[in-house]
Amino acid sequence: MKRKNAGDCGCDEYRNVSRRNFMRVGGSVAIAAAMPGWLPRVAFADSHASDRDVVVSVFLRGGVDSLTMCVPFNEKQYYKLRPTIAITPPDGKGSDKATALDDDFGFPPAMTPLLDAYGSDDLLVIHACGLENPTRSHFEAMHFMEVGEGNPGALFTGWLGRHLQTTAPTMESGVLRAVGIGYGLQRTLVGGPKTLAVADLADFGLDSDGGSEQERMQALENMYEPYSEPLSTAASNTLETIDLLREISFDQYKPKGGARYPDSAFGYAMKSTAALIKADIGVDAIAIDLDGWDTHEEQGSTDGWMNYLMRDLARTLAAFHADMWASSRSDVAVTCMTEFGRNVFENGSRGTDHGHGSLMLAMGGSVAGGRVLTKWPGLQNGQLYDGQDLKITIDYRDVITEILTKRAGNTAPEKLFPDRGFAPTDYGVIT
Amino acid sequence: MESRIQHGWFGPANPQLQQPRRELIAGAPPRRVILPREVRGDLATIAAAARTAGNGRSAAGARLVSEAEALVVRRATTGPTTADYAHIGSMGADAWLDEQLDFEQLDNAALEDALHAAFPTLSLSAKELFQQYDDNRFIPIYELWAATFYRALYSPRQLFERMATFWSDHFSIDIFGENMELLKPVDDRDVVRSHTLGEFPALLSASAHSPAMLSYLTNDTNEKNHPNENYARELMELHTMGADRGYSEKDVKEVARCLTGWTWNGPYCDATGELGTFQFVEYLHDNRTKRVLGKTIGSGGSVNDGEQVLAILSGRKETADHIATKMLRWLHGYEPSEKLVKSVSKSYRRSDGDIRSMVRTALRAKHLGSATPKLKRPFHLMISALRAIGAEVEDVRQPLNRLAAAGHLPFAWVPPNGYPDTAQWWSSLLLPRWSFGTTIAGGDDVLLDPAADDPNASVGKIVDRLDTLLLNGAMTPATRTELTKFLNKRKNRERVRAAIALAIAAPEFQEY
Repeated sequence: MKRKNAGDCGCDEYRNVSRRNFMRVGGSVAIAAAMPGWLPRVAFADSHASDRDVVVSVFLRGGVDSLTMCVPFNEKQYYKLRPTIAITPPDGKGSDKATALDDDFGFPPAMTPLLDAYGSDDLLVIHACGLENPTRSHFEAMHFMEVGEGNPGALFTGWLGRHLQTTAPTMESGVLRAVGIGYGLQRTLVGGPKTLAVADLADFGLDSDGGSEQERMQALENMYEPYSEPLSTAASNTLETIDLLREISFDQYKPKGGARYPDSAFGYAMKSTAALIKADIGVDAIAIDLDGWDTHEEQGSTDGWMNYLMRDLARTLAAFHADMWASSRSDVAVTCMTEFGRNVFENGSRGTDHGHGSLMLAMGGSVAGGRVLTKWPGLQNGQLYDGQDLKITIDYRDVITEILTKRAGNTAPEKLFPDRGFAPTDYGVIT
Repeated sequence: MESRIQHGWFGPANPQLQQPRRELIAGAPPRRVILPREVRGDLATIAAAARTAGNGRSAAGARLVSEAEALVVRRATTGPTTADYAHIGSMGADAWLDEQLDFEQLDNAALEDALHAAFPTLSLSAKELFQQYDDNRFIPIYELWAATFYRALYSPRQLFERMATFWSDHFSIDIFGENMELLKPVDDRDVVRSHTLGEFPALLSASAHSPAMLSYLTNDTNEKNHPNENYARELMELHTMGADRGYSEKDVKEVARCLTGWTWNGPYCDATGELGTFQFVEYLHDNRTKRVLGKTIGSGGSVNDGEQVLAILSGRKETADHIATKMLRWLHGYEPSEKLVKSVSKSYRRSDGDIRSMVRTALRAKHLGSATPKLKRPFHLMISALRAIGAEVEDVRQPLNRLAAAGHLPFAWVPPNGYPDTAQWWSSLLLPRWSFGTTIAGGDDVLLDPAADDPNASVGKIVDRLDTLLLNGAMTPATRTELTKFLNKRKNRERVRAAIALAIAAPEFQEY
């Protein structure tokens, strides 16, 4: 995988045109109104200014059933405890069976769109992985995982927000370092400098009502500039981001590599993310959610709800892979995590209840993929957590720490996950 | 084992909930609600004030009352109207506060009658909601949102409404959780609003017996052989003593044991008793001896174990301190002084948790003098703008869409700790709130008094009027300059409306 050197992105011109600088030079409403024409349109670059990865953190909310998403087909116990919802082993009968990833694990049919990325060694599955805290509460588990603290503590910020706080920006003059796609900022990103929640990247701006947007933006800037914090800085970030995102023609964005993003909220978010990254405006991190994994009833591993969700996930990630790699933009690190896994046994409603160990996915040009990384604890009686769940043998914090320190310029890993006694282990997630 | 609970946001129970929330609201029944003029209270007088405010002035907007009095009104209402200012100006801050605290004397019958007529689910029991709205669960949610919106906007009991918001966050329940569409409206009426300015121990007890809370925090799966600490933990951490305040993990476990068998009669349960009501199930209760916070709860206590726990928790100093701190953050400022916390906590302990006594101490004008500005949350901003300019809302769907886009639909915060009340959280979401003004000043469903956007008024007069109505004459020079510049460039009805929207987006109007 070849990466271009820093400074070779052709975007210097843009870098110097932050809204603030521009306004000080221009200074009048008339010029502000004409601004969009003055700013260079941001092209979707097939290169990147940095040898650092852009971090895309996907949170699969609701608790993914990892034993469906990546099937341990040699475990007799798996088939015994899941008489109706288990995925048929690769050598089994019928069409809805697993496709082997190695000698022990396989993808269910819905995940097979990812076989290309897996076969190119860009996709890593980390199994029996997760948050060590024993909670089975969604919000507690998500809170701990996103804040990066194993137990209730004083931290308010998220691990990705703290990563950004302690890491120099890839682009010094960048006005937007991180985006949380959604109506509120994901806890993971809280605390990050120049970080905003954006529900729709293609539609971030004042109402076009009356056609006076530029005039009103200028007025807002002048009203907020002399005002006290945190409003002054927040307004400046917001206004600069409006200008910035407007310069990216999300609507015109054409994915490369024959990529076809699914027509779903997640597909749309990842497609916008690809456009955002290729615009090279200095965004270092993006957080995205995919909800709905709380499959207590009628799980539908091959024909129902979970099948649908996995297909959405897999097709979207596969499209992102095709799109970015075709543009030589594999300098991304996509991680997928979930707050907990689900019970090893199915329940009475052909679903699964809240469990413990789950899995993570990592995809990127520097990810040592094409394998299932696991210290497999087994599913026999006596091998289970609390007698009912997959054990956690790899802490999600190890995976994140390795990615951020090796590929995102982090030199302060102790700030990421400050729990006393946590010393990160290197599992060779990154090549 | 915690098992069957399926929160709407996480599960496929209702695929509709997978959609962005603003689309969800677009699917709400189109219901234009013309509330009779008398329920709109003093908004008519504001419109009149709008016509005269700023007359004969050009340098600055009129300051209606002293900044000290203005501060009391700003903290005690979801945004003051000019009529509120006039009222406190005529009677003084302490008397005004007493009048708000004595809320039963403030007549809101016309408003409540109109709301109950327009939104029939407000009056129904949980059983009736399950029977009549099982297949139309969005209607009770929508009607609760609408009622909440109109109460904050029109009710003369402004302090009551503001405290109802406080308790809704303190005992937060996500209305998208399983069955919450049908249970939360009952909780809002019978728990939160029944005790908003009552006694904290009674409020706590009502919440602990509320099917919505028992289900939301899964105490309905807390059984003798499978204890579930979820509710017990939040009861101590969020509702009473506060995190890291004098209890141990062991206490949490013991409280959970005391509360085993506290459940409700759900739609598919075999429990006897009315559908959707609290039930204590003896055979699921752990009847052995427990020890909570150093006190022994003897064996065989049955349902009384839980009641004892609630009494113990209500009586703890940590609870008084925790509630006092949180209430001061709500009413006073983000960082209340230790001295003030002590005073309010003392009010709690002297009065056995009388909420009015606490609020009275917190909002006394002499205490408020030290208060620093707070950032309005989106709901507060929206309502305060509507109240200030005297706009009338005939359809809440568009404002609710805006609130959804700003991340602040009422009762839709997923975790149990309630919407944040910090500047840090809300300042990352400025853009959606900048658009509120456009909805308010340019929306089809929001009616402005004709005088408000009269393009024939002079620029100076329009700006003065906004200064008076929105800011009690405290508009910053920067805002004044920008509004003047904007209107001087060109002035028609549309641009006057855009100027109103800009004034609503001004930094000083984001704070209170």
